[in-house]
Amino acid sequence: MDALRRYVQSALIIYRAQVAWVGVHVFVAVRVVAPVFQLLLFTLLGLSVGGERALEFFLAGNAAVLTGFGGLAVASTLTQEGVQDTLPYLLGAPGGGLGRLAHRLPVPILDGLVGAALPLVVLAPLFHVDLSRADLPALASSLLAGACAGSCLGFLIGLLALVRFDLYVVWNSIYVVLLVVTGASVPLAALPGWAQAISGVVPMAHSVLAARSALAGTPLAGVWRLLAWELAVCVGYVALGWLVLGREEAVLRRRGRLGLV
Amino acid sequence: MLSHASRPQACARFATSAIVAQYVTSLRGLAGALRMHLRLYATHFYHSFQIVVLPAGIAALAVLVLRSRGATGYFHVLMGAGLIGMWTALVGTAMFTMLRELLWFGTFEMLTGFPVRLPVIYAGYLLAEALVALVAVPVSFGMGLLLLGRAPFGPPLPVVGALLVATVALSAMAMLLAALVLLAPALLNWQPGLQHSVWIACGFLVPVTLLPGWSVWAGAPLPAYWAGRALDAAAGGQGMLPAVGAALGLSAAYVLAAVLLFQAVGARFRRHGAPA
Repeated sequence: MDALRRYVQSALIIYRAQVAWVGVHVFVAVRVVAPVFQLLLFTLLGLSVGGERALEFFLAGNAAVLTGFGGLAVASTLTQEGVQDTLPYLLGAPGGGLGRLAHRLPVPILDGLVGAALPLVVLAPLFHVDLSRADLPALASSLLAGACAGSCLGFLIGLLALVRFDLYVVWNSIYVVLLVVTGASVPLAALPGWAQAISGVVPMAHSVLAARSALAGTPLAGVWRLLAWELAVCVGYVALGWLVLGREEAVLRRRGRLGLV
Repeated sequence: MLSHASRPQACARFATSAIVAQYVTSLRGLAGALRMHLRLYATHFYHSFQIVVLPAGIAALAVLVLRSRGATGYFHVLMGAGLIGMWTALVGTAMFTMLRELLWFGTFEMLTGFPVRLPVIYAGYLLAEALVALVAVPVSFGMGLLLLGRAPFGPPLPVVGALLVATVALSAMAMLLAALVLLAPALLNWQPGLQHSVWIACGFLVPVTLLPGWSVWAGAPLPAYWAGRALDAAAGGQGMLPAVGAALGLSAAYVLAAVLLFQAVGARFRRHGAPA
């Protein structure tokens, strides 16, 4: 129990310290106002082209893709280790490297879940979308699976960004591509061939489909396959991250640049 | 030695040359700021997101959405995606120039004591950024061409004219924002929260007529809202002069407000050693 408490406490400290959310107003701007307006924009786009019948499609799809914001938090907690010169201590500490770094996942996952659920709850009444028809356990599970997938992608990108590139440019670019290829606003069948091909392995694509079904009332039993696929994608990204970590750590040790990344 | 008769003429000549010299100094300051910003930031890596990936991604998304629903209006969304890229780049410069000058380079003190006024320097930065950010429009229409096999551009001359008006409008908004950020640096934290609301209020991607009645006019005080309407009118072959007039008039008001705010910031900095 004590170990769990310490785990939760340190996960929260890492999240608050490394993401550098230094005040309530920053949190409100980035994690409350921005997602609400993003969901509003894309739902209005749907309304403009598909009328009221398309509202649920756009609202559920774009809410599910908002869960990906947790991934940026994970990635920045990792890259900040390099910026703040704490990476050598982290990599030199006893214990498995992957476990120490995966420690950063739980809180951003919850953050991603809340960051998607809140705009959905705010905007559904505004557009007269009836949430009472939705299967809430299935909807919550879909958003949770999306948050896991987004955070696991953030984990991989954060590890790569330790030595390879500027995190914010790459993360923002990937997020824009994800808006297209996850099918958040476009039926997967209407995507170009290349986009359909990669939509099976990108995070949040399956949870977008699951969230739409759940909003229409499909129970958890009807979406579990999609959620299982989403979790498989998560495992794939973490596994890839583990491979990347070993490789990047070896490169950094060889260059003697652990503290200078 | 000057005679009594020629002294007023000499004074007048001196005053005129002083005014001319002041304008020349301002123009040199503007050109210097423009050149410096282009050299330092025109090819900055972050621009690859702001003026290439973002407009291309939003354009692709919007075109696919329209195509999947059998809707038209491709010009509006493609131009909107380009304007989104331009606004993102300009707002980035407006907000982070203060950080750059004040915290990173420590050059803000020199700027406030410079013979060229602060708004002229900022105008140079923003003009350079606007020139670079214009790339977002061909990128967006290029994505349209890729996905649709054609780029629905409309009559070139009126559209290009309206695009120049839009560039002025976006730059004027960015200039006012830059001055406001100097007075209230906490605004920096609100940038991510505000960006989508500006896209919605200006009708960049979605017609503002979809918004509830009371909120349609939320965009009316923004020059970019009228510039967007001018672009739509230009593409449709309709009269765009009223919208152009509103956009340019509001832009002038924004620039005037920004100049006054910049002067207040400069005065405050010289007095207290801090802009806010």
